[in-house]
Amino acid sequence: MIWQKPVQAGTFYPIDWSRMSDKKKIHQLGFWLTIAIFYALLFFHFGVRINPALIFRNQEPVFFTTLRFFHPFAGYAGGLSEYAAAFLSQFFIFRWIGTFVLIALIGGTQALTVYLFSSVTEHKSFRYASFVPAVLLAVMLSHYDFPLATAVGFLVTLNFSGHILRMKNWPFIPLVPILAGMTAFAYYLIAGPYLIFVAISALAIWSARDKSILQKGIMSAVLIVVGFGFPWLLNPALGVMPLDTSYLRWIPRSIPFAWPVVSEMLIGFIILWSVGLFILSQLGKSRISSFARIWTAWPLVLVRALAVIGLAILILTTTLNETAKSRLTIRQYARQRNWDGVLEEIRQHPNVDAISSFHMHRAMYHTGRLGDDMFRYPQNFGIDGLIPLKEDVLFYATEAANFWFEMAHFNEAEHWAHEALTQQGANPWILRRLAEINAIKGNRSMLQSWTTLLDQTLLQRKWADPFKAQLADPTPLKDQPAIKQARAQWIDSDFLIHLNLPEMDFVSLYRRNPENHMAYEYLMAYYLLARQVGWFVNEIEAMRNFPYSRLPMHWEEALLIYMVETKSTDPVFAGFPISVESIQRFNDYQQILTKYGGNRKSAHEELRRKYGGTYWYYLMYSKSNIRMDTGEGVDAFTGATR
Amino acid sequence: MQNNLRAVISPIILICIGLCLSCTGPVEMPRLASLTPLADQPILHPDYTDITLPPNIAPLNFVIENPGEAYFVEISGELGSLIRISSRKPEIRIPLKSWKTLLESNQGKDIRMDMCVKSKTGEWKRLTPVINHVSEDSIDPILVYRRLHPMYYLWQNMGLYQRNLETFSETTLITNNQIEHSCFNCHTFVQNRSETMMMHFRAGQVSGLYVKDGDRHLKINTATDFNKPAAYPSYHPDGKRIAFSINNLGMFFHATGDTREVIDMMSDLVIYDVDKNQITTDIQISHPDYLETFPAWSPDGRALYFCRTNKLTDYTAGSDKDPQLQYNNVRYDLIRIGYNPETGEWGKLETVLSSGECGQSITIPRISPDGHFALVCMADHGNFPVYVRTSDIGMVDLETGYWWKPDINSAQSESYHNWSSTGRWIVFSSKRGTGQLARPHFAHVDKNGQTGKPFVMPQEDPAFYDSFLETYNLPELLTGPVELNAREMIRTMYDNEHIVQATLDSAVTHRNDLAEARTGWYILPY
Repeated sequence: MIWQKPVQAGTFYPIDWSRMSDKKKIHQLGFWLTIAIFYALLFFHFGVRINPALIFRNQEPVFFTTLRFFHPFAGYAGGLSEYAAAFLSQFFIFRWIGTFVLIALIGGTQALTVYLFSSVTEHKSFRYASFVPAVLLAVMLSHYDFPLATAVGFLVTLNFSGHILRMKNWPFIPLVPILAGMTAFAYYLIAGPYLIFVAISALAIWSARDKSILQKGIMSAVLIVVGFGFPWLLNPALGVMPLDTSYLRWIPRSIPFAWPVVSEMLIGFIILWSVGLFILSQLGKSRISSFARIWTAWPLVLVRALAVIGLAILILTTTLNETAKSRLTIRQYARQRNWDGVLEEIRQHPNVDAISSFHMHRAMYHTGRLGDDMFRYPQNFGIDGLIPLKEDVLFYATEAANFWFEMAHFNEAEHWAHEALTQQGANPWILRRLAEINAIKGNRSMLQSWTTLLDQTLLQRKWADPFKAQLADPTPLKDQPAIKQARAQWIDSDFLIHLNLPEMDFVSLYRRNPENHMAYEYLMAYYLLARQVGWFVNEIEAMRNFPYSRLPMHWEEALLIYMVETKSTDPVFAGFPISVESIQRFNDYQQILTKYGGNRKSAHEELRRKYGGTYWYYLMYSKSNIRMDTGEGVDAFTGATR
Repeated sequence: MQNNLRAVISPIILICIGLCLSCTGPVEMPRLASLTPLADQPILHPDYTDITLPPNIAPLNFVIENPGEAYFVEISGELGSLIRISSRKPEIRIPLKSWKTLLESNQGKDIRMDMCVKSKTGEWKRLTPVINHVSEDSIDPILVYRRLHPMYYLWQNMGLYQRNLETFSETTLITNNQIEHSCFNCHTFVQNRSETMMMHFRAGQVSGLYVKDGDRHLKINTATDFNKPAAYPSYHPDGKRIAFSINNLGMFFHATGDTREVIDMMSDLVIYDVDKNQITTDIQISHPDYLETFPAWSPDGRALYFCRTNKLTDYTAGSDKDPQLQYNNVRYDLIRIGYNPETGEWGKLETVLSSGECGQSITIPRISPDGHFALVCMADHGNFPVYVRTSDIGMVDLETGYWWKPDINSAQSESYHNWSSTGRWIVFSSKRGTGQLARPHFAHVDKNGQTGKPFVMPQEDPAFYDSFLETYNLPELLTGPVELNAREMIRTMYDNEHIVQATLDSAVTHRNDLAEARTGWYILPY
């Protein structure tokens, strides 16, 4: 057996322009120009349109710098690629650094594809094909749910594949254990994407020179045994669980990418193209050269360059899910407490879901506009858009924790923060919230635990500083000024939390603490959305506890309805008169209705145009759901009254 | 080029190594004899002071919280050689081998820990020495527990682990990411032996009761016309019968104080006979007027202990309030009933300790191996002590009925507890410190039921618990490791074609209310 020097990858050699013909120079220039335009377009696509910060907001992978955090990742197949992905994803919170990481992953995939193909044949004319995996990966990365571990897996598998092809002519004895080891290691590192390596290894075995059929057969058997036996060994549930729990882990097949079956296309293309190149290389040098001559002919080169740029433009125009982006943007702004941003985003994309609507109401409360503007914004979900029930909010537990924290309902905030911790892992936002809650509750020991963990994060260590200062202060937590201020909002008598009737919590909170403005405003908003004008009026006197200078506009609109229904003539509530302007608008609204003979359907369009942002219009035309249990004045379970 | 690079890098590496060595080099040891102990008490974290420890426990690594620039610890006993540890950091890690030798040599004697702290001026200060007692009673070497995040409504990751208490080795028996994140709980063994075990799987395709009986693996559906799937198991000493309760548990939440609470709205006891594959019960343990729960067999198998309270509507008789609102008035009594294992006949029911007498709700009885004592949870109300901060460990003398709360409790919840096979050690879950995360604690118990000061399960990293967010659940002491083949267990639980359907004893009358009662958790509307 003769040791053969592995085939070298010409692609990675420095380009020697001086030895090139003019035609080749133009080809090289064309290729690099295509690369430059392609990646510039992708940079724009990911940086401006996709925004990696929103990918992070959607997935929020947890990462700590400790060995204890690393340890479990080393314990299962694909864990290490998940660990690497979790590390890389942390940089997504910075939009442009995140974009750079994404581009590097795509570029790395393309470079390693070139490396792989150059391991099959030395001919460089087919390198344009390397754009295909790059394009497909870019499509996948454009989806906010795409797991970065898959992209890391592709990089590793391409690298391993290139190496095994270059080692194929090594002597039989060292090659067999190397093949077995690399197969097992590839699976352990990256799980599902290792299938590319297995396929390329099969190609390497059967294209190897100086190996007998018996040797090739043995190597194939080793590949099959290790390639399919090792995952079986590692996964005790294999055989009773679906295949994707091990063989296909990290190959995302359930994500609805903008282009169909992209992950399968990527894997299939790499394998088939490698096989095709190999077959072509077997036809003889003259045949492959003549094929290459056609392939590199001027018009085809131009077509290929234009096709690549065209694909990049296609990515730009087809892969962004505007609705998903808008909803993530709203969640992102809400986290940043950029309330104006939330409302602006909703103005631009009014097709909101219940959680966006939930943030919309938060934004309106925090900007002091809830009573004046809530019906000017989409109200398609009624009370479910004000405060979703537990089943709906389950996947937004962090947001629920934040909401209840803002309302000084600290036990409920703690409850939801723990749900979020269970569901999403210990991300820094949850840790910070739990630290705040435990500081307020005076639990020094738990505050210490959350602070320690915050201090072990990669990029949010500084968030631990204020808590460290609180812990270092010998003053009891409850007596420290900032904590004391927060505790002042906390109620001192218990009630049972009603997960299905959150308005009962609003009632309980503000009756126990008449200074809880948020609970009061939310209760009033709830009654308006639930069309319970009578209960709304019952609570109107309490507005004297808060610094209102006038009746909010929607409140005036509700009170005018109440006056009509009760035939009341006194337009003063809680010491505030209903404005003349509102009375005039109400009269106008009624006149329009009268004009159409009281026919709501006929009057709809004109009323929508002139009064679509009023409570009157909401009452008359909104089809939002009303919960069945909002009709009772006394709650059967807690005995609480509205 | 390469040589130049090497020339630049080599000195840098050497400087780095030099710097590292200068930072981490050995600390000079003080001359202990020349230092007079100060009145300053050492502050150890975890608190391993004045305790009685088993002769086979892993090193009790700790952090010295007294401020200092360097630390020195000398551990000595009447026999055996000294252990000396010096460190620039306050974390003290005791070498395993020397520690084991020291404990083995000093069984029944005291060991002494002398500690010195170096001040900023370079002066060594000697702290008051710590004296711990090494018991002659070994502790069972294996502790099996479930670990999970504090659970509210959701669960995600949980695992069943066994820890070798003689070392720091922890091995995984099963994690739920192997079974699509389904829930499992209530791992139970026969009298501290690991050969026979059972546990419940609660969701998805794997739902059912898993029983490992030697080499046999069974998946059993214990639901019958009488009952839904069962909970809170207790193995009869013969390993062939399991007592269960059937519960209707609901979780609800508070606005202040403890966040969570659980109420049981209906419960009864049943017995599952593994060989006959039959569920049976008796009116005395499943009476419609009472809620019976938490069964526990006596070590001779001739009595069944359990907890019982009146049905919830009794708490609101004459009132229009929802009975569940009386959750804070619900208290359980400790009951005993005789049992003839040969005939399966039940004896007379008697109250061992009533809640009225002790003013506490008594739950989770665990009988000592000699049958003399019952270890119970005692809380001001309720049936779910792990969520109630008033829950303490109580001891009941089963011969005299005398009860007391041993000095092992804290202001936070003490709950799930068990005895070692010898009855000389107990393990229990305590939320002391955090109030949220349960940690296994051990305490020595003498033949009169008197306990030593408890201590938390030692970890190699003495600061381990400070940032470990999982809670330890149902610690069970075993005399040997569990030989569990996870693959076999998972295969068994996924194999619904061969699930064993329990039959109902023909002598048992069907009860609609029980058969329809939900089992396990759900969230109450408030």
